[in-house]
Amino acid sequence: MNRIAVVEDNENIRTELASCFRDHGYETMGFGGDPGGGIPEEVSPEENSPAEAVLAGNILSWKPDMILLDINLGNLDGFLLCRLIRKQSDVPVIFVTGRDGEWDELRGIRLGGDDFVRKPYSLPVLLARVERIFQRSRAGSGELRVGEAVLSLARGQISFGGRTLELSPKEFQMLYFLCLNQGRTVSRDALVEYLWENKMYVDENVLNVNLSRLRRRLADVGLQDLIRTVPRQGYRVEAVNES
Amino acid sequence: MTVGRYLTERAAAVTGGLLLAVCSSLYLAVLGLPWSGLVWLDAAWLTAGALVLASDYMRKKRKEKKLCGQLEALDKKYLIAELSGKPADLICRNHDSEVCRRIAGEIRSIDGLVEQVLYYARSENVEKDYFIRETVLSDVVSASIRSFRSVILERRIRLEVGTLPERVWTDEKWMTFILNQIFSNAIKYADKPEPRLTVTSGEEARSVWLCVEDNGCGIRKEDLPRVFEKGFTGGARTNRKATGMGLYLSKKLCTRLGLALEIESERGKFTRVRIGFPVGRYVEAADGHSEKIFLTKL
Repeated sequence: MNRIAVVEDNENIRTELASCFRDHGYETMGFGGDPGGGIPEEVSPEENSPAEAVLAGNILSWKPDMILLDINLGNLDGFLLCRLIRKQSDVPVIFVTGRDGEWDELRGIRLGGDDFVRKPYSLPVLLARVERIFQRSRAGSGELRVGEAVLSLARGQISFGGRTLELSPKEFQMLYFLCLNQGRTVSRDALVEYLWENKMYVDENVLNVNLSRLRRRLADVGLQDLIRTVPRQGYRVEAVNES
Repeated sequence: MTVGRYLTERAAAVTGGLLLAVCSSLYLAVLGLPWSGLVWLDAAWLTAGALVLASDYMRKKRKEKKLCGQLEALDKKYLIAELSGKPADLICRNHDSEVCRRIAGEIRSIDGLVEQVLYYARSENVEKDYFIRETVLSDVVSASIRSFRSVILERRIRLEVGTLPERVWTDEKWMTFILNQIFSNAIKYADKPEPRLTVTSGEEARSVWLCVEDNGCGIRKEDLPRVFEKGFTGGARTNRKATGMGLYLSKKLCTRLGLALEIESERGKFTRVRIGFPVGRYVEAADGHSEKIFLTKL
């Protein structure tokens, strides 16, 4: 099970993010607020300020597979924390930045951040990004594997059993999101939200039409069972093997 | 608050004072006072009036400044809450239920109102807080429209968004606020069984237009010239949700950002809001450096 460390100074957000990740099958631990591992009242701003070093040590000793790091950590400096973590480990780091944080993003990339999520973020998108980074470290970028089916990100295609299917942008985004969450049930709402984030403003009807067309087309290459309907909950993609 | 606006607000008092001065000097002239005496009297009269007005103006200005200062202090707190990802919103989404969805809806509307108040305070000194750069229209529109996703889906509004590929020079944050006002109006006043919201864009001679059209209740012809006035909620509109600030602020911000804002409407049929972005002079200055930030005096 993948372990995600949530570093966030707002207690409500920390708990909610942790519970959300837990619901999606990750092991999580929150850092950044509790005394002991958290934020002391007064912090000196020098380079090797003890508070950040202590926190970095705490996080790394938990051995996370990914760190979700809020840049604005109250009295602590998220960048410094990232640098300290990078000195000791190559664990993927996703930065969470404020709405106007382009400069922060630039700084974060140079410090070795793997991805950025801008606040206010939506949970489906956050989950998709987390999952994408895990995928990337598993399989290399450019493609996404679901059992023996391969989704090619650059070409917008899916291939299975020697046959290849070209997908429309909308179909591809839907399938991509479902495949990122393979093995988990994705609610219709989360799927719609993900599509809206990608400038595809679909409603219930459009989603239904597109999904049934996508299923019909997938059946042509022998993937009729790829997308399953979970009654009253949503959809789920399970690995399909050639029989 | 400018001097001009203050004077129009106090127009009655000013004209009254002047009339009084003229009348009293006429009366004294009839009584046979010498002209030089009259001139002195009028001068004294006018100076007194001007002094009273000036002190009143200063008082009002001070009061407004204090209010803006307080709002700005609040603004910082609010911004921090927003930057920290809106905890309440997150909680509501994580515990998805009918009640939470309703609470989230209410929080959103409170958020909208707070945002309006804060932008009102900020609009007094835009020059401190803008950051003009090249932006793709579809990005700004998407940022704004996404925040209305659940309302749009709930009310089954048919949303048609064009590809909006044009690049414009503007401040993303202020632009999102303006669009929020326009979309929020379009959604608020949707009254047809099949509500529709269309967003399109186009290029005209040296300008790019963004057009938001809805098929809602529209605006009465006699109200149309007044929609940008502060606090105007419509002559016959019985809608209590109207604050009369949305379009006023949008117009003000558009003016400061150098954009055009126009409204066309037919009662009961449609409302069409168009935002015009100047091209040409910004683009020439940018000269291919898409990263270069080009500031212009507003």
